[in-house]
Parts: sequence; C-alpha cells; structure tokens
Amino acid sequence: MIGAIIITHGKLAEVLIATAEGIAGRLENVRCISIDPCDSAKCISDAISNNIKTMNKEDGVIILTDMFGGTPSNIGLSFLEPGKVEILTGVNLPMLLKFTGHRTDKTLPELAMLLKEHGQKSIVLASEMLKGKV
Amino acid sequence: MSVALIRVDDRLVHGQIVEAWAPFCKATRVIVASDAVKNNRIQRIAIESCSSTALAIKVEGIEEALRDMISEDMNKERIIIIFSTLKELLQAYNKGFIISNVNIGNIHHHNARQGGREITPSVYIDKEDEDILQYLLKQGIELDIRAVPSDRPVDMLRTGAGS
Repeated sequence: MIGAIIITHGKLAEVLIATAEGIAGRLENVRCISIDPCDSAKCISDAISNNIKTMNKEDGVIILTDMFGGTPSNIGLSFLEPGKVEILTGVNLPMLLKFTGHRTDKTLPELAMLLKEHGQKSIVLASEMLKGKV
Repeated sequence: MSVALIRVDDRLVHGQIVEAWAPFCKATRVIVASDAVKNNRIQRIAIESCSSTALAIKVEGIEEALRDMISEDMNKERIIIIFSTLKELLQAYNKGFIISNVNIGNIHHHNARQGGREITPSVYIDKEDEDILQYLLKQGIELDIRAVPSDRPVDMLRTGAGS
C-alpha cells in the first residue's frame, strides 16, 4: 500500500484528510504536516524525515504539497527519490480521492502520474464546459 | 538597476514573494543572493523553475548579485533581492551593497519551533541577529519588519528586542 504525506500551509492538510475520510472512509498510512509561520526549515525537514522513517514505505511514499513554489513544496523537493518517494504539488480533493482508489493496484510512478493528470482534469470552468449546451 | 525591495527571508522564494511582494512592488525579477543556495543544485533548480514570463527568478552568489546591482543590463528591471539570513545581508552590505531600507520577513533558528526571541510570528532573532539589526539601524538603514505588504510593520524597539 503506497503511503502519502500531505504537507501544506496552515491546517489545509489536516482538513483535506478529514474531508477525504468523510467521503472515502478511514485513510491508513497517510500523514499530514501543517506548516506555520514560526516553523524553521530544519523543523519542517525533520518532520518530513521522521514521518518517512516511521511509516510503511514498502510500496513507496507520495508527498503531496499545496502549491508549487511554496515552502511545503520547496522543502519537500529535497526528499525526491524517483521510484521510492515522489513529490506532487497542487493537491486537491479529487486527487486525494483518486489516491485512495488506486494506492494498492498501481506502482508509485504510475500512481503519481495518474494523480497529476486527474488533479488537473478535475479543474473545470463551468461556462466553458457548458458552452453551446445550455 | 532599480531595487524594488531588499528582504531577509530564510524561506527564500515562496508564496509570500511571488503572490504578495512581487505584484506589490511591480517586480520583474527576483534575485536570491546566497553562495550556499547557489552551490546547492537541487535547491537552485527548484527556485529558478518558479520563474514565469512576468517574473524572472535567479539564484546568484553574493559577488554576482553585487555585479548585477551596478550592471546597465539591469536598468529596466525592478528587482527584489532576497538574503537568507541577516548575516549574509551584513556581508553584502560590508562588500558595498547599497541598502537604505530592508524588509525582514522570515527568520528562524534552531531545530525546534520558536527558537530565539519572537518579533513577529515568522521572525525570531538570536543575539547575533539583534546586534546586526542594531548595527543596521545605526547606519541609518530603515527596518521594515513584516511578512507581507498588508501586514502592519513591527517596531523592533517596542518589542523589547533593542534593550
């Protein structure tokens, strides 16, 4: 079972996991790290490293961050180990729900690519989608 | 070159820079002036890959940033210069970097949360930082302590840090 660590600014990660659990049921082997203004880079980096150490990582771990170019993503990037630890930015609810559905039947690189595509496809501009249909 | 903002921020280029300061300063370029980051390949690539057509982001050694500061090629740019620590800012100042005002955005210490004296929720200073800040004030440099433009600047003396 592929593991996940969600790292975001503020409480976004916690709430995102709680919300996904409300829809898909309890998420095993999923950790969250909430970053506050008072956290040093070393403190964030230690939190990621401790989580990776103590979780089930037999099938790999995907780190999901809120925003490319933000602190969670900037610090998360240094943990990249292709095939073992992947980092995907711009986490959203559809992406997390897709993760729960495919974490046991795909390899880490496959799942990472699937989540990237699904996360992007799940963003829809209603007026564009409905153009000419209503 | 036109320096729009000089900032001390140990998180370097992140959301506050790209989403808040760059539009506020109408910046066209961000330069991270740090020898350590320049020499860390992954960190450098990650930072520079946040560049967009509207905002160029570059990591430069301190000497290189100094050269850029007086280069005519940069005349049309509005630049945000970021130093990782007060120590590096002071190094650049001592090497001839012209500073009249410095924004202090993120300073953290030690492995734990909240090491050092709290000035703002994202600025914690130790004795060495405090000495540097006092030195900068004596040089007539204005300190602008705030994370984002919409924050109210914090008066360091009133927090008791200057006693």
